[in-house]
Amino acid sequence: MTMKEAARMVTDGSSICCPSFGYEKVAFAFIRELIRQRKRNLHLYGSGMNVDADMLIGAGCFSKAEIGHIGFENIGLAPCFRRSVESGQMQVEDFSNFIMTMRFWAGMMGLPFIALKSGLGTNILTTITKSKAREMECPFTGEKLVAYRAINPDFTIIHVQRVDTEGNAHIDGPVYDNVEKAKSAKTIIVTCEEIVTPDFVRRSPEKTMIPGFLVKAIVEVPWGAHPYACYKYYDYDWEHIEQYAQEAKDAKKFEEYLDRYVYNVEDNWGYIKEIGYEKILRLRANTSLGYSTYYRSLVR
Amino acid sequence: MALEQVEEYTAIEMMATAAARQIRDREVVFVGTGLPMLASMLALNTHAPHAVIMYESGYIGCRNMDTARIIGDIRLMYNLTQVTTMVDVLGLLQSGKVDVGFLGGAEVDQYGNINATVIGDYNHPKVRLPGSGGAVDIATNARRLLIMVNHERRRFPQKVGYVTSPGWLTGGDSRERAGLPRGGPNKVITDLAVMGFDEQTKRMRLESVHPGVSVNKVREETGFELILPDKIPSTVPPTKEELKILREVVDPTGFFLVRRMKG
Repeated sequence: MTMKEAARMVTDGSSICCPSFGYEKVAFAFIRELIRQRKRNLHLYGSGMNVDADMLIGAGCFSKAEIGHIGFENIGLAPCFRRSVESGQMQVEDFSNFIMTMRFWAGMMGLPFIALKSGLGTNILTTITKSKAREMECPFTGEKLVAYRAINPDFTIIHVQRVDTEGNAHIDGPVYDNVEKAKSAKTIIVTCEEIVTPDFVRRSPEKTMIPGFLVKAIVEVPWGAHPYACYKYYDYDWEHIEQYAQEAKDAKKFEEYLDRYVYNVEDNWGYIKEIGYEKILRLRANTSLGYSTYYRSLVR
Repeated sequence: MALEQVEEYTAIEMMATAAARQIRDREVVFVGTGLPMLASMLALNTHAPHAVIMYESGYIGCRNMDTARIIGDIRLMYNLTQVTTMVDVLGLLQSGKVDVGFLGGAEVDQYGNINATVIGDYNHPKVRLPGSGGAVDIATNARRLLIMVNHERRRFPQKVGYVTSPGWLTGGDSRERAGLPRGGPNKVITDLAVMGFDEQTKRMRLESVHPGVSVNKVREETGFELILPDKIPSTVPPTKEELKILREVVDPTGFFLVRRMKG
C-alpha cells in the first residue's frame, strides 16, 4: 500500500496511537502524511510522547488526548502542546506511562479494565472522569487500587525495521509498549524500513513482535522514523529535533516548518531531500553500536 | 575551566556528586529523565559499580559507552544486561523489586510531592508541563525516592498545585492511609543543599548545605519553612576522582554539564 492510501484509512474523528518512546522507531513519515491530509478531531492515545505528538497537535489534528507525557525531556517543554492546552484548544487527560501502557495491555487482553497502584494519592483521581478512572478496593485483600478503563484505539501505526509480505513485523532492539498498543487496536498499520520475504522472517521468528494476520496495511518507507532513530539503521537527528523545538515555540515559525518539511513536499523522499543527503548519511548506524558515532564529535 | 584547577567545580557537578553518593552499591535504581541520568551514571562509575541502573524504556543493567541524552536513547542498548518491555520493567517496580527511584521535577513541596503536570488550573493552565511519564509509577512504587531539582523559590512551594508524583502527601501517615504500597521521598538534592524528611511529621529538613552556600540562602530560595537542625554540616565537595569521571567518562561531550538544562 502507498503511504497516501494507508493514511486515508484514518478518517476524521478516529482514535489513534502512534507508539513512541525515546525518539526511536516512530512512524514519523505516516505522521507527516496525516498532517498533509489535514486530519481533524482525532483522539490521541499515548504514553511517553515527544516531537511526534507535538507536531500533530500543532497541525490541529487532535481535539482530545489521553497521555502519559508530552515533552522533549532534556531539550525542554513541547511548545505546540503547551499552546494548544493553555489556550483550551485541546482537552487533555493525564495518566502515567505505566497506567497508559496497562490500559493498552487490558485492551490487548480483551479485558474491560485494569487495577493498579499508580494514581493513589495523586490528582489523577480528582481530574479524570469516573468513566475512565476510579478508586476501588481489592475484592480479596481489601487494599486500595485504582481501576482504569481499557483502551482499544481505532488505529495503531507502528514503525519497525522490517516486515514480510504477509505482515509479520520484526523489531530489533527496544520494543517499549508497542506490542500492547498495536494488539489493542482495531486496525494495525505497519510502516517499515524494508519489506522482506517471508522466509527471511522465518529464519528469526523470535524477532517477530506482531503476527501478520493482525496487520491491515504495510507501507515501506526507508528513513521513515526521521528525525527519530531506528535501531541498527540510523540515529536520531538531534539538531533537527532542536531546530523543531526552537521553531515550534513561535506559531508562525511552526507554520513555516510545516510548509517546508510537510506541506510542500510530496512524500518522504521529498522530505529526506529537504533534510539533506549528507546529514542522512552521517546518521547511519555504526554496525557495532546500532547508532551513529556522529554525536561524539560534538565537544564541550 | 582549566584542567589543572580540578578543585573548581560547577553547581551542577556538586549537585550530581551529592546525588550520586545517595546510591549504594548493588542497589536496583530506576532512573527518570534529566539530572538523575547523570548522577546515576556517576555512582555506577565510582562507588556503586554493581548498581543495577534501569529505565522505563525497558533497559536493565546499563553500562553505556556514549552519554544517553534521553531515557529511551538507543545508546543504552550498548553493553546492556537486558532489554525488555515497559510492562516488564514497570511491573518490577510495582511488585517492589526496585530499591531506589530517582526523579527530577518542576515543583516539590514540603512533603516531597512533585508537580510535573500544570502550573495553575488543570483545565486552563498557565503553564502546561509534560506530565507524569513514569514519575507517578516510580514515586508510588520504589522503596526509596531521590529527587533532584534546582533550588529556586518558585520550585519549592508550600503545597504543589497538582500532585503528579505522590510524596508524603499531607505528612504523618497520610501516604500509608492513601494506600500507597511502600517508599516515599528520602532525599531532595539541589544545587544548594541536601534535604531529608522528619521521621514523624514527614516535613522537609535541611541536612547539609553545599560549600559556599549559606543556610539563609537556602531559606530564601525555599517557599516554606524548612526544619533546621542545630548543626547543619557542609556537603563534602566533589573529589578530583569524581570530577574526572563525571567530565571524562559520564559526560565527555558536556551534554548535561555544559549545556544548561532548560525548562
